[in-house]
Amino acid sequence: MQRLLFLIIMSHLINLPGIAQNTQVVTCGTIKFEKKVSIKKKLIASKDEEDDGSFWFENMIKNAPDYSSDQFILQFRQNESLYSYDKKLDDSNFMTWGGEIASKNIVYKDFNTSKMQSEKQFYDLNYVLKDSIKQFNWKLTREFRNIAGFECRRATTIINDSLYVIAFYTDDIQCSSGPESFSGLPGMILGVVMPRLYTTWFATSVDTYCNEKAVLNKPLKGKNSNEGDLIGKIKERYGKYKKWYQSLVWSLII
Amino acid sequence: MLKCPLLFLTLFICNLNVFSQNSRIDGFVADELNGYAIQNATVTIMRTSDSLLVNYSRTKTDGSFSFKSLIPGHYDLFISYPDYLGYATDIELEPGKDFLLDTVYLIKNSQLLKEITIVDGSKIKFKGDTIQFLADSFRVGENANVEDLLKKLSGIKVNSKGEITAFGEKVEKVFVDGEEFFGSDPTIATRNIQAKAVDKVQVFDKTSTMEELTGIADGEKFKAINLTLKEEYKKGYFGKASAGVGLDPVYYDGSLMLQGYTAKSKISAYGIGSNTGTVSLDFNDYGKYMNSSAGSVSFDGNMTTISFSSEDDFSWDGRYDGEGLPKSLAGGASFSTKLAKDKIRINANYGYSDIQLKKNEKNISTNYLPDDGFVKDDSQFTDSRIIKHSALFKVEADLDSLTTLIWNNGASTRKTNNYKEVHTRQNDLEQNPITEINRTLTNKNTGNSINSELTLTRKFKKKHRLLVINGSGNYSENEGSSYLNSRNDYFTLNQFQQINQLVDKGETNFSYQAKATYSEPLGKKWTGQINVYTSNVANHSNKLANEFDEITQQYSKFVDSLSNDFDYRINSNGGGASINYKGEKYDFRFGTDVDYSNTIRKNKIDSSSIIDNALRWIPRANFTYKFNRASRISMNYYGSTRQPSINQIQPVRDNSDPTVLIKGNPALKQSYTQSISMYYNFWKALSDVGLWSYANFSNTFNEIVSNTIIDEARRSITTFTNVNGGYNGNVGFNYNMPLGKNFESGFGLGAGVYNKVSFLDGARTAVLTTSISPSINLSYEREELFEINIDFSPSFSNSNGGLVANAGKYYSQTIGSNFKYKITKSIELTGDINWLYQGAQSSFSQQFSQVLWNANALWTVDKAKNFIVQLSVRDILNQNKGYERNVSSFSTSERQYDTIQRYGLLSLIYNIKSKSKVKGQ
Repeated sequence: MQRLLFLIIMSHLINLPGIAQNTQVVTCGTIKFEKKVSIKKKLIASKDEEDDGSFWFENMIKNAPDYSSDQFILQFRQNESLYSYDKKLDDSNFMTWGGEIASKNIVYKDFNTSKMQSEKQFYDLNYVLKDSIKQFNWKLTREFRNIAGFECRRATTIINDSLYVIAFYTDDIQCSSGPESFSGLPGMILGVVMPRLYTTWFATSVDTYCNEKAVLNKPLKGKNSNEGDLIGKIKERYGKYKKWYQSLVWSLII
Repeated sequence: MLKCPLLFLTLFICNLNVFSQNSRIDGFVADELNGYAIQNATVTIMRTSDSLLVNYSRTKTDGSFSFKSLIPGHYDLFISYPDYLGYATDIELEPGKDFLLDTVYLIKNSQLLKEITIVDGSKIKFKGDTIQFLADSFRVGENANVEDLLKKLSGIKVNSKGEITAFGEKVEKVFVDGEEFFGSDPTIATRNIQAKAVDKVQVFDKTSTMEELTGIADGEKFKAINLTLKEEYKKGYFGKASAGVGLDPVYYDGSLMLQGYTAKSKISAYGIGSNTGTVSLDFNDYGKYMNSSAGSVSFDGNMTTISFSSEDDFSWDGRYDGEGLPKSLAGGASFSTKLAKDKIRINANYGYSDIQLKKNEKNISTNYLPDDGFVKDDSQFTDSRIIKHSALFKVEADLDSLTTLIWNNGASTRKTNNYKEVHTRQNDLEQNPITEINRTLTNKNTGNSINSELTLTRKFKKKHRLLVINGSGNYSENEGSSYLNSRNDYFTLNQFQQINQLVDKGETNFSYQAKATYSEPLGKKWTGQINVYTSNVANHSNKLANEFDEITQQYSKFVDSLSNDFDYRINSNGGGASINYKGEKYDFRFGTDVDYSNTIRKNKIDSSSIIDNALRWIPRANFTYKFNRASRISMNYYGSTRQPSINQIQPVRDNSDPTVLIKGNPALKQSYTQSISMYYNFWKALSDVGLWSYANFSNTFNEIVSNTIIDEARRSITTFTNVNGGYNGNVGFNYNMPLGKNFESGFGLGAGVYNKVSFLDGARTAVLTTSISPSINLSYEREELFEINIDFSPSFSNSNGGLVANAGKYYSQTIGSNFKYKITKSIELTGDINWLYQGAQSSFSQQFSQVLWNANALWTVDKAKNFIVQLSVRDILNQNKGYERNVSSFSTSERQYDTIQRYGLLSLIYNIKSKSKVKGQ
């Protein structure tokens, strides 16, 4: 009974009067996501705490922009979604070696067939990966956050045994999709935080205008494969460099 | 608070029996206000024990929902709908009993948020332009040093001299934790730090300070490696002590390296003593003490360096290049600390070295003249010793978040002692004597130098706007005396000469310079940069030559013609501008520097003077196109002017080598060299196939070349002249691909064409040399057990146009291999073999072949693997002959010199490490 009481109190706390945005569940529309990578923090984290004033590295940190920021667009309907790179938002010209892995992904998810197709970047090549939609073991929390006018519940999961993912989803949007390959929550994921990758995705706007005739289609270019095979190949080549291999996998599986 | 009772409407009803152990939950959702069913409301089921999302669903048109096949247990159920107050309940699902949730009535409303903060750590592989290797991911032996580790890293190669190549480019410097490690010789770090102390190996392009700050590529960069040490090694101290000795002949090699850490400070010390060629302590002050190093002006590498080479016979700088028998004792200490919340960083360095070298050498050269020829037979003995002390002090302070001040100071002293005995005989081709010269030279020299440099870097709120102000000053002095005792017989001239003289030399050099550079962003992708500078050099050098007086028994007869007293001043002012574009697909930059310099040189003895004003310009352009993320092509144009050196205009007369005379040419003009270079590379990540290729071409207008006349006594009298027509071109590539899981291969090619124009006996000659040298490299590795690496590189070259028939038709090849085999857990064998073959040709009827084979056996004595016994034999076949041959278009020569031959060494190595450590992370 005490527990029940707690739940009742909770349900009140989380339901303070807010901005009423939608009067019904959104079934179709377009979401703009801002993907932010905290370059500076990522650099700092990659150096050891007592890394002595290494001039070039300190300089690189000093000159690195705080964030890199890119815009992605997620178009969705009830049973499918297409996530794709749109444009660069920051004006920095900070370059990373060989380009960031999987930094301009395109991900198409079909929830009718539970299939997913994605175009991902891996150094010199683009790969088109055909897989099933990923299954995540999400854990729900009682924390909420407003993103782009939507009330989002915080959920967490761990992927690849060690990568902690925080997602914020709203059940006001019916499509159970999200940025990159994230999905599997009772609604649309409008925010993802991956602390170990120093990366966040947050929706900046949700456009609920729905063109029912529009086809969610973007030609994917690259070498055909699937995630398992690609990781297998990477393992073959880089598996012996354990930590590097792990970081490559982490970057790819998002 | 109206809603409270509503929730109590929910009751536990569980009275349906189903055969399966799994249960289902059913329910309805409706609007509390009007009782209408709510469609598309979200129903979420979460496992209470761990908050795991078990299932979710949307309500149907009638507001119903249902979950089948739920494992019995404790669940939380949420229902939500836009603008409605959410609903939550907990459900105890019993085995085989289904659960029916009565109609849930939702009330309009919504909201709440909570901030989150995230703290965590992560490691990455590519940081900006840096490629980072995590040392522990690579398996090396317990006692491996950094060099062994580097050999394991893909894209990095280390040759037998310890020179490192990373991704096809030579690595110029190795830093330890971002700091220089006892001078610029990489092997001090790579051969003395244990691999297991290293956390990460970072390979990067060290760019100029300006580029680091502005991000604008100015083309001045080199490959460098940074080693970051493990945290656990940075607490307390660690190091390595090694001592080896060999008998018959007696060889020894000992070294000690220690690094100690506290939270904010680091102290390191290093010492070596050896007669096996472990000299390598280059305290980066080479050039500061060189005799007559007057007037060396260099600014960011933009300007032509003006310097005169010394006619002095001794120019050994203390580096060991495999010739002669060395003996060295060296040490150094370094301290660095951080103050005021790391805003002030201080680094101090001291180094000492005492290096001796004894060398016997013999050189026979056949020189061809248009109508005749002569043979020069030279044998000499040298005994040199250099003692150096040097100190460096650096302070870096962040004055505020946008302003940084760097203050660099250095001081050093150097003492050299040299003795040289030379016998030279020149015969004509019929073996008739032309000249015979026997001379001894004794030389003592002391040099001191001090320098200071201050750099202020100011950033602004506007991104990429930057101001850098730099000022520096140098003072150096040199003092020395040399005794020359020479008997010169010129048989064809019937002249016989006896020289016994003392030359005292003195030199002071003072220079200062200031430079300001300002960058301004012009829109998102464009940046403009301007700079101005001024530089001044004041140099005074004198040389007093005195002949020995038999009567007074003193060096008192002043020799006018060999003495001088120069005052030398260069004032140069200049500036430049450039514009840069950095886009997604391509970058480019173009700009020019202009420099006006005024040079005055006065000889106080003969009152002659030279005044020279020169305007120089240095254009440059760069274009880079990025095909994709790991493939790009880059093109550079660089132009530079070069002033004739003072020695080419007005040389200092010197008679220490009577067979070589230099005459100045005051009419010399400056030369202009333009060079175009191109680079292309790609890398395929999954297959690890990579290509690095380059092509470059340069030619010079008004090139300053030598014009040599051989007189009757077969003395070469050289003067200088301007000429056009010289050019130089090179192409090459390096291609790497794996052939199997542990089997790697590399192919390379270098080809060049070189047209050299010079004058001999007044006649213009152009010699065109072409060369091509492919290379193949194969390596195989069985982890922890066995590895082998084989290199094969033949080389063909051909030159045309000289006086020596077929002089340049030339073939040589090297085959090298190194291997490693682990016999037991504690015993390891390593070895390397290098075979050099030089084919016979018209000038050398005999081929030359030499196989150098070194082997090592390593025994790890204790379990902690800190104590190692090593037995090594160098040059097992005793074939190191110290032989070199040279063919030029006018001469062929063979040279033989002393070198370290076969020896064995038994060494004890101890890895030192403090116990008080905390495991990192």
